[in-house]
Amino acid sequence: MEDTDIALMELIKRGDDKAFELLLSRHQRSVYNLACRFLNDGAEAEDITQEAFIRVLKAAGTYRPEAKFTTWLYTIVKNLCFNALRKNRSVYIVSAEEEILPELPAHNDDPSEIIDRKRLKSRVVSAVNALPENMRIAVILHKFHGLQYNEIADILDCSVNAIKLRVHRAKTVLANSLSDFSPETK
Amino acid sequence: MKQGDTMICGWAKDNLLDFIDGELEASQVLMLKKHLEDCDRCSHEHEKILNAWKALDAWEDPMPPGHLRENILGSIYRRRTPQGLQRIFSVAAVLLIVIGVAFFYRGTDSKRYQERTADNKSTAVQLHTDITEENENDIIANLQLLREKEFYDSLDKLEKIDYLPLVEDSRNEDEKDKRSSLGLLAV
Repeated sequence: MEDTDIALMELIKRGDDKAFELLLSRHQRSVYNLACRFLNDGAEAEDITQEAFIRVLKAAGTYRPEAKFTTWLYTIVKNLCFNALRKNRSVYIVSAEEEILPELPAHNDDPSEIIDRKRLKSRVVSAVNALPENMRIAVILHKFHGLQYNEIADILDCSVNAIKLRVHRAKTVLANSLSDFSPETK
Repeated sequence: MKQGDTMICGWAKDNLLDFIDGELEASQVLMLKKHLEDCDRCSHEHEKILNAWKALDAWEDPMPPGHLRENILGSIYRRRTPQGLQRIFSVAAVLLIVIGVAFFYRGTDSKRYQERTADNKSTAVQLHTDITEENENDIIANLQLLREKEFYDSLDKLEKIDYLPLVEDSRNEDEKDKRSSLGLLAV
């Protein structure tokens, strides 16, 4: 996967539009997910995904495969997310996710289960969003994108120990805020 | 309620997250596992962390809207075309400015030249009319006088010269040399 990403970047460097479209297909979802979870704003996440891929295309000429492609890509997304946060600091971020993308229940789903699941999700989202930004992005990258501490350290430009500490603290905080949750309640 | 060794509780609490991450050594893992079996409080703390981490799974991947891909590609291709055109326009604009400036200066220069030539022409015409109409004969007469004056002046200069430099004959020089060599000239 990683090798093919680098190969695609080589093709993009030479002006291959198809290679870019393939790269977009592969990563647009993860980029959107990262931005959407971090900012908790679907519209903003769309803008950031768009801008991230424009930057990828612009920087393709100077791209050097020194690190994993995803590390480079997530670094771009992280920077855009932090810029957006700074820009919108005074603006109240509305969680539009529920309204914009309503989850359509499967026909055989029990309505009470759906409500429970939604309630739980809402609590989880609130708990994660209550984390400080640096802790939040580390948790999202670790939990939802499956990145190792060293990869997160590269993206956030800090030491592995600092990332480990952040994730550990976040786990403790989340354990307290979601203390009444047990797998059975899901 | 089981109460483990409180000394070990502190150690277990400090290492619980490393234990969850799988970063403890085998011997430490065994010790912690044993402690969790013996201590309800630590065991509860351990479960709380695991459950909270598991609870995050309830936050499913947000699905990007279907139009996102088209929007991204559209915006990239839209940007690319205007950029190409912008470059062409900017080059064309620079060329236009250069050509415009060149024409402007050329225009003013030719204007000035035309003005100057027009001035010269009018002066020439003026002079020409003056000469032809009134003073042509006088000028010719004056020119004749001037020529005569120059001739006489040259004559005066020649008369004032006292002597002309003598050009000695080369044969005399040879005789002089001979005489001096024979001591005839030595007085």
